[in-house]
Amino acid sequence: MIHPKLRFGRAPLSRCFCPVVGAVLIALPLSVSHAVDDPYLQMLDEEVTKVEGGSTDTGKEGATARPARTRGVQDAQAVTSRKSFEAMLRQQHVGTYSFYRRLPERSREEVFVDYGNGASMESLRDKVVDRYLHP
Amino acid sequence: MTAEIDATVDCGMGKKMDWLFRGVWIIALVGVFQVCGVHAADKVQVGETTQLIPLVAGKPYLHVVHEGRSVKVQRVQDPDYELKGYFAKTGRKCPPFCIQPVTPDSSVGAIGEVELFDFMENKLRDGSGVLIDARTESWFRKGTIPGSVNYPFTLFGKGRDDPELVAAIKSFGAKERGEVGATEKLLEDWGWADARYKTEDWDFSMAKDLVLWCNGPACGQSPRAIRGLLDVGYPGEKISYYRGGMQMWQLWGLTTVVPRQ
Repeated sequence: MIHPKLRFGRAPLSRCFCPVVGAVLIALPLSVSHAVDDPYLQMLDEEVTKVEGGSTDTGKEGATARPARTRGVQDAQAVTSRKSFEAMLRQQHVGTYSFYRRLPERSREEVFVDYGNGASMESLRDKVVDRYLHP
Repeated sequence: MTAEIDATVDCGMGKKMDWLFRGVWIIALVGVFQVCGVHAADKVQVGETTQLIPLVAGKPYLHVVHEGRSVKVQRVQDPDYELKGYFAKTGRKCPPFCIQPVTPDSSVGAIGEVELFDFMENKLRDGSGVLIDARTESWFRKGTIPGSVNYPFTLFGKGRDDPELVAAIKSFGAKERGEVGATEKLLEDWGWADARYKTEDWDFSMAKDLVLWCNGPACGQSPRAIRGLLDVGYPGEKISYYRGGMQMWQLWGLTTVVPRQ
């Protein structure tokens, strides 16, 4: 004998399954083909084949900020960039700059090299204060 | 006696004249050296300025962290350099590659290269900003602007509850609000609580500033991404659109990188 509740439960389940499975079966290929059939995406995929990939990054100068004492165009660039770095500090981080300008040359250079290496302002600020307190 | 005196006078005059001549010679020589010095300095200056093509006046280059390494962003230092290849093309099939308006939405600001340099040096460095390459991955793989991360525009067209979209929004510093209490909602509705950067689902108060870009003025990928972000509720004032994109970036001969991963 089947429990009435079970019988009651089985009937809607079987009724429910058909439309759900049907919907999934219909929706699945639609969702898969959505990306493939999106004409914009398709055109983008075609267009990207025309692009010549490549990098113009030399990859070796990123971490170098040579001392300002020596001569040459690269050093002139470094000096100018250091000047712009100091100008940026002066304008945007006045407190840090007030400590920075009291540092000895080697510490300033160290801070600038760190800046060149992509250190965050927070770590630069810490370094400046550290070098100021522990010269 | 007179003759002696005359001789001494004559001798004194002679010495004075001699010193005068020496003085004239010294002044002349100093003058010549100065002129030469000025010319030499001028030559050096001219030589340096012609060799150096800076990003902007007073800023020859900048550094940006890309995939954990420092990349030097600078312009091609060859004055005869000409752009070739795909990004030198002036025309593409329209639609879909039509010229875009200056901004995809009035709440979003458009920026140029100088503002992007500033963004790279400050907000990107401090972690308060994200530079988004909104192109599909295949484009990203061909080369990107240093410091960019790839969030394809297709991501922002997904449903609001899509886990990938939710993860991306969270990575930009937004917080999910969950259930908002009745009192809090009331206060916000009355304007007593700051709801400027809040939606029903998200709190964008601490959300980062975003700069989105794609292939250039005739590319619709980043405008679509921006519209998707606005639909989610991301505040327009925290979004910027670098309309020049890869095309203008390359036109200025600026550094590009190929992603490693």
